[in-house]
Amino acid sequence: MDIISLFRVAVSSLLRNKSRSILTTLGIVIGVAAVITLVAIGDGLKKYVSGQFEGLGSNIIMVLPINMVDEEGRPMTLHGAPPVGGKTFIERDVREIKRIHQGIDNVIPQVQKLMKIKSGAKQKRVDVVGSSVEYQNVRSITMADGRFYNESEVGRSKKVAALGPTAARDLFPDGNYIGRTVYISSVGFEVVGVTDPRGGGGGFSGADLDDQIYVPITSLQKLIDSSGIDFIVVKAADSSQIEGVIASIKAYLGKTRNVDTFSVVDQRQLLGTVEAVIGTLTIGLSGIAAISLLVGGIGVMNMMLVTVTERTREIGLRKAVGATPRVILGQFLAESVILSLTGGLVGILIGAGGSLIINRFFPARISAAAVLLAFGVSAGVGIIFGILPARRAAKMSPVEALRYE
Amino acid sequence: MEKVGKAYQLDGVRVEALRPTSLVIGQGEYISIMGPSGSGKSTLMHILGLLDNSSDGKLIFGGRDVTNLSEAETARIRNKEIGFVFQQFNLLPKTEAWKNVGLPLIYSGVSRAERRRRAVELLSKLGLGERIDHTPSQLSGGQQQRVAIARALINNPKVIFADEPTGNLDSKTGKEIMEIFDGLNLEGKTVILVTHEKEVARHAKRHLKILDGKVRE
Repeated sequence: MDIISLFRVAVSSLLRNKSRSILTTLGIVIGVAAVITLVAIGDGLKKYVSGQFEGLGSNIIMVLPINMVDEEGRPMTLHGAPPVGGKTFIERDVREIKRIHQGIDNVIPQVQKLMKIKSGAKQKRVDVVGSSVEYQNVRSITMADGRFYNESEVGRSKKVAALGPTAARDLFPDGNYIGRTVYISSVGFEVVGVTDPRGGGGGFSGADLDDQIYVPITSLQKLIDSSGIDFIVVKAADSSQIEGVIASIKAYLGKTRNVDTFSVVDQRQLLGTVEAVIGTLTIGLSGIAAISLLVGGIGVMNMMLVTVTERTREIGLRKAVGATPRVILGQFLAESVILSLTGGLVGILIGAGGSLIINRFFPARISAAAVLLAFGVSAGVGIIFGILPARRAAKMSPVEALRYE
Repeated sequence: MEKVGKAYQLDGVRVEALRPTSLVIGQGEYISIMGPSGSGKSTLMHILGLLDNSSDGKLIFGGRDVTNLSEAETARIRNKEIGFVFQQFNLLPKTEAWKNVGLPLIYSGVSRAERRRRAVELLSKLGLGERIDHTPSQLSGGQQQRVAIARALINNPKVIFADEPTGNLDSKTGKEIMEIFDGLNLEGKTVILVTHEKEVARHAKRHLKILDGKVRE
């Protein structure tokens, strides 16, 4: 008996009991759809985050006054900057780091605080980023309107601010902002420009890169009455220099600080740690979803056991007219595989459709690997949970099976 | 074709359903096996029909020793050389008559078109030409039994076993069914009837009686 007629017999047997077959398949559908959707969300998030990191600019090294990664490069804290309570850097660190390695293109200090911002009637909490003029270049910021603050304004601690597009839109809904005043902690800053959009959100600190206000570092330090620097951004001349630059910065800082009180990481490392977290999360979530797939598989086994008992006489008859035990095994195995594969296919479609809908609000991305995996797993479920009932059917003695009432 | 049957049947606590028995059945014989229920007549039929293994003794079918064949091998012999007709018809529910008839052919690897062609031919011969696409629930008892007979005949076997073939039928229909068996024997097929009705057994030419597992001519 060939495979095709085996499957044809299996299909017609399943169709004789449509509603039960459909309900059993539903268990697999739900399991596979859940796995596909969660993996899609995980993948989408990963891609989105790495896109955000690329948007930060290239060859960037972050010097942070907290220990973000352990020896194996795994994340210790994930709240990101600005660090709370850590020993911040000082002006001298920035000057020294500039000189220690020839592969360093630029070094900029950065102070970043989430602060209450007011403009006339509008008010919101926004990340205020204080830095030097080079910030614009290092972070590849382009202006949509007006200008960035300049060297002399940094030198004289002038109260000027460039707004990210989201902040600008929220604070000045009328679109009229150049020359207007924003109040940062009740201190007025003159708006000199608005930047181009840099991406939706989830930047280094998890904040929206477009929802920021850029001011001279000196002005912000004065405002918060602290000369500390939250972190230092180093731009390497090219990617081959990154390793050497990181090593020499670590050596320099190691002279004055404990090694576990700071970290020097490049984007890739940072990205790696964030991706590791998302990956773990995805595995955890899809593991939970896989449990529902397991439950679905048990449903298949249950239905097949019922079927085998119910069709005892049929099995006896088929054996009497010449079905070998292997053919009977194959037929019942084919039935469970068809059930779970159909469930898998429908589940993949529903999961893919669900991911597309979710993608409108939240990054989700369906990967071919996830689809193939779900397909393979559902076929596996059919075989694993089908083998026991099928063997029971194959082992039946024809005489007893025929006598069964 | 000859058969030598000699069997002990044990059922858990060594119940002797069939005492040691020697039998020779020739090709083209028309045999009835009679006895009250529980006498072992079904057991004898199952052993002769290779549905069950004897616990002892030797069974020769068509000149071949089939005593210790695997289930797969006996399945092949049942498929090609033996036809069964049961009291309960044992048709697949919700399945068209021609598919029921063609069932044994699936296991001998015959194509669907050929299965249908042969099933239709046989059903027409048995007067069911109009009922080819009917399911068992749409057929009368006599019609269902004729479908079952067609199924037993589809692979052109040498031996037909019929276990109480008229047990579920009224006497008029039963007679019609028995006439079919008579015809098959005339065509040269070995027919073995298992029954407890004298009326039915009378159709056969050789009569075996069985009581408490003991077989007598």
